[in-house]
Amino acid sequence: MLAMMARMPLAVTLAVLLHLILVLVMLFNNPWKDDKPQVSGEAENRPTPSIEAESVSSEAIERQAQRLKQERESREREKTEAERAAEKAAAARRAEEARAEQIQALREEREKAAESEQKRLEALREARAEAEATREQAQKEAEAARREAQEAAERREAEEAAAEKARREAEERARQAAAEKARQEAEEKARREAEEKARKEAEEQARKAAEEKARREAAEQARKEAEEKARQAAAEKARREAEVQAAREAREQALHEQLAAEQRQQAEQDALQKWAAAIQSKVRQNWQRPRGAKVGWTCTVTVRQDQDGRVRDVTVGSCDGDRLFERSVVQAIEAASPLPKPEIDAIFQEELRFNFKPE
Amino acid sequence: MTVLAFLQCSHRLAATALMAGMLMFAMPAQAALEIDISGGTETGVPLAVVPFDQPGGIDDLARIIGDDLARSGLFAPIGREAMPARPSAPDQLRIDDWRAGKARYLVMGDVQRQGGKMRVRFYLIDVSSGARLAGSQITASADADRSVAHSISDIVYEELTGERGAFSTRLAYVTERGSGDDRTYTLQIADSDGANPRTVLESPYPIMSPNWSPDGGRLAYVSFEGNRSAIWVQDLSTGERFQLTDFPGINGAPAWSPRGDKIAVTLSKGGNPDIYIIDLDTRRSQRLTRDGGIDTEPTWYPDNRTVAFTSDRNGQPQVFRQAGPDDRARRLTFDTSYAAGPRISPDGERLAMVIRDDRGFFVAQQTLTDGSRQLLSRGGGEERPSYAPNGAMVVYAAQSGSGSVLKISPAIGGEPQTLSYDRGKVRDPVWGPFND
Repeated sequence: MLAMMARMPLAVTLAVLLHLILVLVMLFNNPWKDDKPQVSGEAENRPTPSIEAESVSSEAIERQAQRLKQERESREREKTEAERAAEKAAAARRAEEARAEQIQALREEREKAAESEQKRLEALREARAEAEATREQAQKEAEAARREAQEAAERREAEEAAAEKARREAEERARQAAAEKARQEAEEKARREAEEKARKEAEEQARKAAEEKARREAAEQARKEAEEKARQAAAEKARREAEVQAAREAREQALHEQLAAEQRQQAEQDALQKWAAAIQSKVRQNWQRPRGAKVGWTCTVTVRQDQDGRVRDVTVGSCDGDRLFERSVVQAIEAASPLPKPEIDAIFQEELRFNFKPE
Repeated sequence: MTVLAFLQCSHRLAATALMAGMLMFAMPAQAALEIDISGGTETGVPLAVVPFDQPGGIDDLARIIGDDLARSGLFAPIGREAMPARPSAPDQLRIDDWRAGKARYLVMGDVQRQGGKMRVRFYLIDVSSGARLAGSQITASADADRSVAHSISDIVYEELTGERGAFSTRLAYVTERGSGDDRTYTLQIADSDGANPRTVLESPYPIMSPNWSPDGGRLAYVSFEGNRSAIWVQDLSTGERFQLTDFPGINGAPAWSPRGDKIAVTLSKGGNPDIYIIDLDTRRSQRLTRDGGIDTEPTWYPDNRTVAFTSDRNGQPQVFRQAGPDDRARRLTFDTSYAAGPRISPDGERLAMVIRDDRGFFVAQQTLTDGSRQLLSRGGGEERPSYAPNGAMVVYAAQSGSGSVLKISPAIGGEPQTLSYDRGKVRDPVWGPFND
């Protein structure tokens, strides 16, 4: 606005003046008063603002432009004057405010005067308004054209700037892209190199590790094999020693058992001898051999005894002596009952055989 | 002498088990233990004849039985003082009381008199086992008490020995009493224990060599009636007798053959004494021996054909045998300067005779199979042995002081028993046959 004021002081002054007039008019005359209460058909009754721009001829436009130029020149003068007046008005306003009541009074007086004037002014105003409208329309259009141009220029500038900017940006982007690309390539290269290096290092590492591992494994394997071999050898040795030991122990055991068996057998043989001798002694003591028994007579008897040595049964087998001899044999055994028991129960025999002979 | 015999298989069994690595020694040896018993005490079998539960007026049956059994030499009756009890029947017998004692057998019984008869019950018990081996009841006239006792003895003897008892047999013998011209000879018959003697012939002439017929019904003997010898045969039940031979010279030593069909005698009708066989049916004599020596005292073998006799054909009396006239006489006795009066045992296996050694004359017994010989008498003045019909005892005459007695020795040897003594001299005993 300020820039517009600076650029078009006349126009601004005129605008201000116009406004002031309008204010005065409105203060004393309410031209739109009647419009308000009408309620019916507002659209129908409202006067259609007609814009007759299209019907304006180029001459008119020329004239109008001429006029506008004149007006513009006058407005510029007026503007300058207005500016000066504004400055005076500003100073005067204070005085004016002081004489407001005077004015009021005056105004009322003038209103009456103005009544008549009103009509005339009305017409005038209408004309003027029409002119004004036309002018405003033109102004608007000019303004629009100007703005359009300006906007176009601005757009062009903007486009140029944008283009420039785009170009710069493109360049920048290109540059950046190139840089980026270079960077990326460099990075890629570096990365690849790094990767390659890392790969090589890794490979090397892996190789070394593999070698190390292989070496360790080989060593481990060798160690294990050695251990296994040693273990097997030890086991084999232990086994052989165990076998030898077992064989020796078995031999010793067998010898022990044999010895024990022989001792036991010997003991049993001795016990058997003693037992037999004890039985023999007791039976012989009880044998009252009949007189007349002849040399060569033999009586064989089988005796069954119980565990206590009591004679259960005497069976005469062969007996080539006489009956008295045979009877004496049976009686000897019965009289010797219970027979002596052996020292070792194991050698006890339920059945005994006796051979009785006179001599 | 005494040997312990173990079957060796137990040892081998053990050895086998050892080799097999098995232990079988806890097992008792399966071989039966064999024990030899020899030696022992040779003795008469101790036996208790418990006094019978018997009324008065009857001979002591237990005493008779005990003496009978003792005479056999096989039994040794224990004294009555050693008897723990006097049972007479099994329900009174507590065998455990007897087991502790010596007696291995026990005889007990009782007698019930019923008028002129008596009933005798007796039992033979094996003390060792408690078993009743024999037992029976005998009814007899009241005066046959000794016979009943001998019968019991025979039953016991046969039960225990398996051999027939000869206690119920008789003896015949000759007695001589008086001296100088006043001599009396009798032919006597008595029980086997010498009891109940009875005279079957009494004569002032010598009587010699009685001999029993095999059936026990007759006796043949030599009598010197009329001062010449003759052989007589006398029936014991009737007393009838006849003269079998009265050949010139010697008629002596009659011997009835086992079958009773012949009598062997000694005759000297041929010049010197020889053995002749007289057939009792035909009365014909057949000369058996034919030699220059004295052949006498014939005795028969069981075969009814072979005869043993005494002969001095070799200078000294020895015993020969000969089977028939055509047989060659074989000498049986050796190693003695004098062997006479032979008797063949009933089983034909032994020969009893009188032998003389520097101590005198003894009864000896020779086993014919091996020629072994043993003395059966002890005194040194014995003669004329004769076997009991079971061959278990030998009776003979023995000098006793100024006279002589009869003695019986067990044929197995052992202490002789003297029979009841009749005053005077007792000669030529001969044991009769079984009373079948």
